[in-house]
Amino acid sequence: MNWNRIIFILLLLILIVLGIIFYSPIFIYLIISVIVSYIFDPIITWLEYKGMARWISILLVYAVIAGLIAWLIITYIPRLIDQGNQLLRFISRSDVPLNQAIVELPLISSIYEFIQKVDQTIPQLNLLPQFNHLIEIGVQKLGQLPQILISNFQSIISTVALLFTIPFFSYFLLKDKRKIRQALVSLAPNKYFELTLILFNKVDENIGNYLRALLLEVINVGILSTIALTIVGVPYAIVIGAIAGLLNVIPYLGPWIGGFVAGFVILVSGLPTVMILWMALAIFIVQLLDNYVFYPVIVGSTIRMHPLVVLLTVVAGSYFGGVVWMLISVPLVYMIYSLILALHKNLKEFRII
Amino acid sequence: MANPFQNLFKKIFPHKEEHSELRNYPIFKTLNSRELQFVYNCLHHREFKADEIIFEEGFPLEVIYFIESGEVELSSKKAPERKFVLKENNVFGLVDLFHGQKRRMTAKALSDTTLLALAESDFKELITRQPTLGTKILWSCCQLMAKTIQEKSQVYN
Repeated sequence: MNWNRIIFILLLLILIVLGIIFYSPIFIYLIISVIVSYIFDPIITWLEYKGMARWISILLVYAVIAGLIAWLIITYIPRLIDQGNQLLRFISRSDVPLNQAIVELPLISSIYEFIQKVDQTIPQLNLLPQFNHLIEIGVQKLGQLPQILISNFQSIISTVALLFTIPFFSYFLLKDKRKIRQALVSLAPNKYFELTLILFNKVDENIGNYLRALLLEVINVGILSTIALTIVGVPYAIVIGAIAGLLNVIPYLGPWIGGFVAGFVILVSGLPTVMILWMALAIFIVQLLDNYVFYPVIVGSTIRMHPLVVLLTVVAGSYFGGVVWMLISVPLVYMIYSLILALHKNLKEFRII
Repeated sequence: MANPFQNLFKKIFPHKEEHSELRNYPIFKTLNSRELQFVYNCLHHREFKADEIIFEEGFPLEVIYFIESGEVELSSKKAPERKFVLKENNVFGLVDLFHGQKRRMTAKALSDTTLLALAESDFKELITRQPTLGTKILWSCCQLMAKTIQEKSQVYN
């Protein structure tokens, strides 16, 4: 090993570290773009083999999606504004102060009464002022919401602007998919070429299938839940259905959390408590349909994770980075797990370990 | 060809066929230019130095190699006296691909060699996605193997 070589490698390492620091703010967008390109790749490859150039098919798919989003906005924005107005009217009711209005909610008022009773039985406890204080803090935070939005105006704008770069990233990732793959594989030394290729294909296939299945699952459960909740008569069925679909990313636990959200909404909105039973039945039927009819068709056979592992992963994810990481952690752990399985099998076959 | 309009047309729109060098390999001989493009998209260029091992006997198989330039020696530990030397425009690994998924021979570069590698998964995808292309390639594979069998055995002569 001569000195020139060592210096060269050292300089290269410094450059890589500097590059990582420089590009780190956009890593998250790059990851999202990779996910987006994985989701659309099958359609575009299919069109390509049908004889359409890749870039044309990408633009076509983009146009369809843009149309879909525009249609959704046109259809749902008025309704969203309506619900927002309702909420605003609720907050800024002039006849009663907001604290009063919140206390008047059926769920809160029953808790309030319960605490009053407790305070009467055990006079030293003094829970009521604390409960009032809690509500006051909540109201304060609610009032600060517009303030937070305005003071973070710039960062919100720049985030939105970066969100618009995702389609551009994805466009190039999709268009030059093969070139990128060839370039990455060409970095591997001859000795490890076949191994690299096998791993690359395996990971590519696994991650792609898993991400697409995940997306289809989310959409499927979201739509089914919305329909079921609408039939039962739960308010805000679309929002709750969407949340239930998203939570379905977490196996075993997700449906329960979705059920709790729906139950909470029923309690707060003052509907009869029996409704919770119907809602639970609806969600149960949706899960039954999903697990035994749709999941085997969409996902097929995947590596099963033990419920305990899932539970630990979700809890650890929530400690690590809140709700977002709760959702991301299980797919992430699953993908790393499948990568390690493939790596171990092939390293053994190629007699490297 | 003598038509002046045709010549003019060719001058204005020069049509250079890309990747036509792939037709030198027997299994791609019958493909048209669009199909060659699909094949080319899946190929990996590899360069090997003289005396470098390309693959070893008993290892799992993922790619078949096409020799672009240079020489490759195939040998087996089971029969050390039998050695093949393949020159450019040849393919190796094809029989193992259809048979057993394990390398039955060791390949070594005799001189500086450039190879094109086609992965098994890409090969299968090409065949299933483009049935016409697949039929052509598989037909050529059969021809190649029939020719090899005929050369090796005198039974059918």
